[in-house]
Amino acid sequence: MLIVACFALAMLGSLAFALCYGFDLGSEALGASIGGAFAFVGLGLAVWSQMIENREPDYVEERAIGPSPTEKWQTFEKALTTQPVPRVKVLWGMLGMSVGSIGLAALFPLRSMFPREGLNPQQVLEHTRWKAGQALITEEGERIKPDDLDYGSVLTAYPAGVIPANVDEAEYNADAVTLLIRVQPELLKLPAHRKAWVIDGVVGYSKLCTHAGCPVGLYADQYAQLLCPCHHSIFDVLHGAVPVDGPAPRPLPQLPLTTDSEGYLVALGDFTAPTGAAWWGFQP
Amino acid sequence: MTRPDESRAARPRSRLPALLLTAAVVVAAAGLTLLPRLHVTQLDPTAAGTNLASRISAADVQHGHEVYLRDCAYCHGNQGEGSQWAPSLKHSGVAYVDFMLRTGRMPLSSVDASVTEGPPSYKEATIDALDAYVGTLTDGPVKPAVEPGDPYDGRLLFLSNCAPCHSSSGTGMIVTNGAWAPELFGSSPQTVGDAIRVGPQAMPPFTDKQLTADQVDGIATYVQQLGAKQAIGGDPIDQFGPIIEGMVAWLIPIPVLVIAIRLMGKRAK
Amino acid sequence: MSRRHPVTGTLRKVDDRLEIASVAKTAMAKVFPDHWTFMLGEIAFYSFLILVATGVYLAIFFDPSSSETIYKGSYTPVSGHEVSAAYASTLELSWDVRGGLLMRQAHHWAAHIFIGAIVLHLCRIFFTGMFRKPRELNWTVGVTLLGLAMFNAFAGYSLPDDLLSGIGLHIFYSVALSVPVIGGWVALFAFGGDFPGDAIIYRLYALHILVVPALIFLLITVHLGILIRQKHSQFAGPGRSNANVVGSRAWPGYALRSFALLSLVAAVTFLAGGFAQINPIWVWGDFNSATVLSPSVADWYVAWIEGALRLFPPVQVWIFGNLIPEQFWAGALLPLLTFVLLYLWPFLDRVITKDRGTHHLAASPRESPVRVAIGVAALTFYGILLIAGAEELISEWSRWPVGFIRDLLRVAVLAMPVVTGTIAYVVARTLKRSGKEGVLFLSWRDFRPSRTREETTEPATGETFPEPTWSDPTVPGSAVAGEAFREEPVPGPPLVLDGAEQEEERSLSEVPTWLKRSKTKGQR
Repeated sequence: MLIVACFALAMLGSLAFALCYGFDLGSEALGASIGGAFAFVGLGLAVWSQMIENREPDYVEERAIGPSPTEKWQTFEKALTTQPVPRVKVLWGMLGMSVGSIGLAALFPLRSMFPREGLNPQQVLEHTRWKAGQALITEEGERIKPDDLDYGSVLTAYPAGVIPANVDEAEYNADAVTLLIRVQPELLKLPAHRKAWVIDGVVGYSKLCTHAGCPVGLYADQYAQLLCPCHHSIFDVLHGAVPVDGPAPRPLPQLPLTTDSEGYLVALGDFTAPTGAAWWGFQP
Repeated sequence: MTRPDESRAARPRSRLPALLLTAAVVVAAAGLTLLPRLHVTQLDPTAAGTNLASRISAADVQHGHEVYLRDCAYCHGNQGEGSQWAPSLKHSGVAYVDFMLRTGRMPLSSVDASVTEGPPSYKEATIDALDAYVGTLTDGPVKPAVEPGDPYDGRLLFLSNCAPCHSSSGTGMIVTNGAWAPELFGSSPQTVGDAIRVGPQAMPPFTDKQLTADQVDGIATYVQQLGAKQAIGGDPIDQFGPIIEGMVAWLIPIPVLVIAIRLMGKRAK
Repeated sequence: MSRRHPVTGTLRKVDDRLEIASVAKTAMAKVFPDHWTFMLGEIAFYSFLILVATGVYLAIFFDPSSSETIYKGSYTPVSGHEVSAAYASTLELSWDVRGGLLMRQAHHWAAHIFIGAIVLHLCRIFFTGMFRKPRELNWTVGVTLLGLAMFNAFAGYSLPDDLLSGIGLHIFYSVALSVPVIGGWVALFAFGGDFPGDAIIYRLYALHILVVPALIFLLITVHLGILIRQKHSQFAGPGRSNANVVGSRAWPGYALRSFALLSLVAAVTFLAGGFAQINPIWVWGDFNSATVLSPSVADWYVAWIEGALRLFPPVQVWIFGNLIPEQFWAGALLPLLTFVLLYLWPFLDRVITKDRGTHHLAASPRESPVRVAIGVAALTFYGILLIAGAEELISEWSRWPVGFIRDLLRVAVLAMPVVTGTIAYVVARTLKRSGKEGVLFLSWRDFRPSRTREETTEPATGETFPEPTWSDPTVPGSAVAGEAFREEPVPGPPLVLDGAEQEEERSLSEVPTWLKRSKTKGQR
């Protein structure tokens, strides 16, 4: 009786699913009805199988345990290795080599998975698009003046310039993305040659964490610290973005900044180091 | 393989259905209590669009002054000059004051109480009056007039400017040094606008060059979409991300199936 | 049979052409051991079936492209605006395709159950020693399945081009970069250029819906083929030996039970899919390489790698002027070592236990305290790494600083496995010595070391069933008897559909009397 009831309820569940779908009742109703239908089928079957279990004895099945008897194995080995045609070793060897060569040839098309230009990782990874005199723009494409930022403010900046057709801007600039932070200039403790790159307290660092490349998007204004949410490295903005906690070993590279004649921010060149995660061949 | 019906009565009743049903009920009940639900207060949409300037009157300033002297002056000074217990309000700006009042961070119940978020202590009108009065003392960021904006722009700007700390879902998260970005569910558009301009506590401020008034409106509007309005497809499991989903998977579906096989199978003899 | 049954009638026609009767009868008589943990692998298999079924539905609507398109659906904050085709089609699946969200969420929950069941299955095999000869090969097949399942889950998770999975891919890219010597090439090869490029989604799609599922399907076939050839292992018990399998027959009992499990897996999956939101990509937002969200956490089956990346100290190792990046050790070497150790385990165990015998009887975990200790220590190690993968959530709830939690976990990840491993060793050894049924039956007295007891005490309770090895001449049907190729099924009667009672009596009479369970009350 119980089993029959279960199966009947399952049919009801299926019907309910059809109705829920028909009336567009949302995923809860759909999930409840079809899930319920499956649950009742499962319950019915479980009870049914349990009833069988309760009536059935334990069965015994014999198991053959290897290895094969010596005689059988020898017959098999003989059948496998006996060859009616002579010079067998040469033929098998050549067959192996020819199939292998086809396998090697098949590897060549895989090369197409590499980028069409800039195959050398060193060239691709070492530099970003920043060049001397290149203007900084916001996500909306507007140029930036230091006064656009308040003390304690942050702004994400990209290199201005023509982006090739069919290339997404954010993708094209993934390694060049820069975080501008404005701090009180007297608080900044930078190496002497980097001090000139700070314009009215605006300092630019790579936004990519030097550990695993996540955007270092969390800025705690009170402590002038940048935090990477992926692995919780913390960088001290006032001391050249050196890591003060977490798994990142290298500071965020700094972008040399200056202003042009109209007072807009422009870059003086590329970052002080390659941005993002390190690789074999990385030179700081 | 079915068997004749009449034999069924003689058969021992399996304990399985009862156990399975009990397990299902227990697990369902546990699931309902275990899953923390998102609490999202529905906000009055008209609150966002009111024009501030038109509402400020001399009477407001007067009322604000009275409340100020009663609740604020003890720490912040009669003229907002500050004291040994509290900072000066001279440069903090109306937006900051408004934010602190609206999020219930101010006033404090005692001088040494910690600044924590909570329900506001004042009615909307009283807050506006206090803002109006403090506006005569301070020269910091003005209180932004937040109006309904474009949620698409707001969404993009929220994702690039707010999500890093508050999470895309608005649940908020710790930042550094014990600072944390609070949960945004139920934040009124005005609070959101104030916070963007002021950058309270560890949060960086955003100037009107970085985010225009329209953009702030968009963000404030999008923040109203967070939480319950995104919660389709069942319980949002707090929208903390995949590791919580994994925890739920190990707490409910996988144990249910393990219990099911335990009931269907036997133990070693 | 004079009257044709509709089903058997059709089967007879098939039999007329394929001669299936004897094969089918053998299959139906296959004996499944009754222990409940033998169904863990079945949960994994059935969740794979559900993954395929729901995945096909998703593939019909999903567009694996990172090119921009205008989303025109009902999710208002994005409606009418440009997002990537992958993101737009996933939004449509979730908000606009009726039933799409249920399928998407059920697919995702099924993935959790799939990998979870594989892990539990692996633990069962590990602790009962059923990777030992002759099952080393099937163990390696199973480990490969675990790796493929984890990879495919990660690939599928990354398909919708949302912000959270994009961050995961960025970490994946950085870890690929970190491989010594060839890292740069590996990363450029995988992504078709600098991160993110526009190729990765197509590539993951091809792998996720075609290559990896095909491999999984193939390996499941191999896994089950080896299982059928070697027959199930079983726990020791009355009448059970290396040379037999005792349990239920495939038909009708076990088949129904297994179908019940299939239905229950489907039920749990669809109920979870309906009632628990999973991976709400509209919440996370579309991918933008310049932004991030916090908490950035990973799915549990890769979160232990994420946790290891968080705990590993910031060290830079230079070899001949070349940097081995710090993310290599935790991100690439640890998973590699994990899988190498898993693959090698049967052979390492053989070295540790010096046991080269053939085993078809599942050991009680206590039989090898060293194995228990290693297993518990490993689970503790990966468990703590998993916790490290959620350290910001612990910080959020406890208000302890992340740095403090990290230091705590750094100590714990090295110390706790030793602690738990030692405890497991002591408990297992004590259980083995005292012969008590379980941990709850132990008293403090049992832990007290006593040299004399160790030597003199026989297992106190219960009968013991020494495991015969294949060369044991007392075991009938062992290899020595010279019938290795014979695949004679159960000593059972021919299966006649309308002769149930007769069959039962016969089968009972042929089974040794001490195998008849007291419960069996089928006689009428």
